[in-house]
Order: sequence, then structure tokens, then C-alpha cells
Amino acid sequence: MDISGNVSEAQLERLIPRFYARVRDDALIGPVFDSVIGDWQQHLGKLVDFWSSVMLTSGRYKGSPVAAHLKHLPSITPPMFDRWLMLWAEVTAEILPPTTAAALQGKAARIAESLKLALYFRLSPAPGNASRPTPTQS
Amino acid sequence: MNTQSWSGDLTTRTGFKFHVRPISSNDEPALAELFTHVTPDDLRFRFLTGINIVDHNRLAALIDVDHRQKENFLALAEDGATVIATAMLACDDAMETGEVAISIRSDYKGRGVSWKLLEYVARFAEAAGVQTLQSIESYANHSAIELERNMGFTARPYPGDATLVLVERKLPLPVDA
Repeated sequence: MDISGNVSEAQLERLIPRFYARVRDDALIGPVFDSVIGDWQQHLGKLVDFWSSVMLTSGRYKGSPVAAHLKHLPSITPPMFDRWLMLWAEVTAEILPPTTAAALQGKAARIAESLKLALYFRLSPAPGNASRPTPTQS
Repeated sequence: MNTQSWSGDLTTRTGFKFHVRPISSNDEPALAELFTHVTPDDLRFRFLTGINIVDHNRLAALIDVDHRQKENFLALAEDGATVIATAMLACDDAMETGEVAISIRSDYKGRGVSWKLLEYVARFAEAAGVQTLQSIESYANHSAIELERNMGFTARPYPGDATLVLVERKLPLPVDA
């Protein structure tokens, strides 16, 4: 941890593999990740780059997480975001100082909101509609 | 809100006239035809992912709207049949925030249709009580971002996705927008 309480590269490299091990064990979200990701070693590297870009503005990650999730939209449902965030809260709290864990949790919550906005507002096939009220026909 | 009353004839600042009305269940062929005339870049900007054909599932998602939380307006040419643009509005459960996305036929660009349609959707959202209007734009979609800025939207980085920007503005629009 640096003086600002921000996460370090070393901490991210410890956090990400441990977090995704927990994700893959999860009955709700594990199968989605496992069906989509072929090379986990490579993917974990990409995720460290992503979090390094987000938390440390390193700019190493050049991809589009929104487009990546849109590709798999039919199999991603809104409750999965809550489960992901719950596991993230658990693992960050287990291995990081409280202020660092809180910063990562806050950032993840905002990113989850922005992903949901892009996924379920814009294209909105079946999964996003599941929790919506019954349409009132005009 | 009775959305049937949200039909009408609009004139753009260039003097181009078009008709606007909410989408209905038998519009799929016309909507499919529209997307065959949208440039590949504009398709990518609309769906935020590279696609060549807008398939039945995507079309269905744009047509099966509840006309309350979600509405899709079609802009039609004076022949009454050619769909020249679509403007989709999707609101959150609280009806506080709405996201708008517009697609336009490439051969009808440059006549002020997108501006007029965005303004129309903003008025509709306003009437439904929506307080914030948003749009997710690809960073590369300069013309859309510019248009929205001119309409008082502000752009900021999209959380977690450096390829996108989130543009938004508070409603209502000024009377003379």
C-alpha cells in the first residue's frame, strides 16, 4: 500500500487470482466464466491490467469490458452482478487493508452499475426484463 | 402516459419534414430494412459491438417495448413507409434516468433528423418525469457527442471502460432548445 491507501500492483497480482478462484467455485457465476474463458492464465493477466488501469491509471488495459459482456449477454443476468460484488467484498476484505479494500469495492460497484446500464438499458433482451414490472399497455 | 398521442410531424432546421410515431409490433420488416442502410460504424456505435446484421432477437428487443419504461420512436419519410431513424428510450425502474440511443439511415444524415429526434425523445422523457437523460457513446463517435454537447449534454469517462463516454443532461430542456 502506498501512502494514499491505493492498491499496489503486487496486491492486485495476489488479489485477482484468488478472487477468480472463488468466482469459479461459485454455483451462480462460476459456470458463465468457465464457459467463456478458455485460457485462464492469460485472462488473469488481462484482469490485473484492467484493475491496474482503473485504480492506478496505468493505461495497460486497452479493451472494452462493455463490448466483452455484451457478447455473452443472454447468459448474464442482473443477480450475477450482486453475487460478483459480494465475492469481491469478501476476498478484498480478507487480504487487503480496510481502506484499500473499500476503495476497490467502491470502484467495482460503480463499474458494475455502468455495465448494467450498458447491458440492460440499451439492448435489453429477456434477462433484463425479468425483474421489470408488467407492461401497462396503452 | 398515453403514447399514441406522441405521434406527429416534425420539421428540422434544414426544412426537412418527417413523421414520428411509437413503434408497433408489425414494424419488424421496416426496422430490419432501416438497419441495412445504417453505416457499419454507426451500427457498432449503436450496439457497442461489431455486428453486420441486426438479427431477429435484436430487432425483437427494439420492438417489444412496454411503451412506459421503454419506448422506441420511428422517424418515417414522407412516403409514410420508409423508416429513416429509430430513437430508443429506456428508463430505470424509478423512471428517474433514461438512456437514449439513435440510429439513422446513412442517406438521410446531415438534414437535422437526429437533432430533432433527440429533442423529441427528451420532451417525451420530460413528460414522463425523467430527470436525467443519458447516452452511452463510443469514444470514436465524434458527431454524436458533438450533437449532444450542443444540446447541453456533458460528457465524462465511462466508469471502467475507456472506449466509451457517458453523456448526460438534466431535464427539462430549455423551451427553445
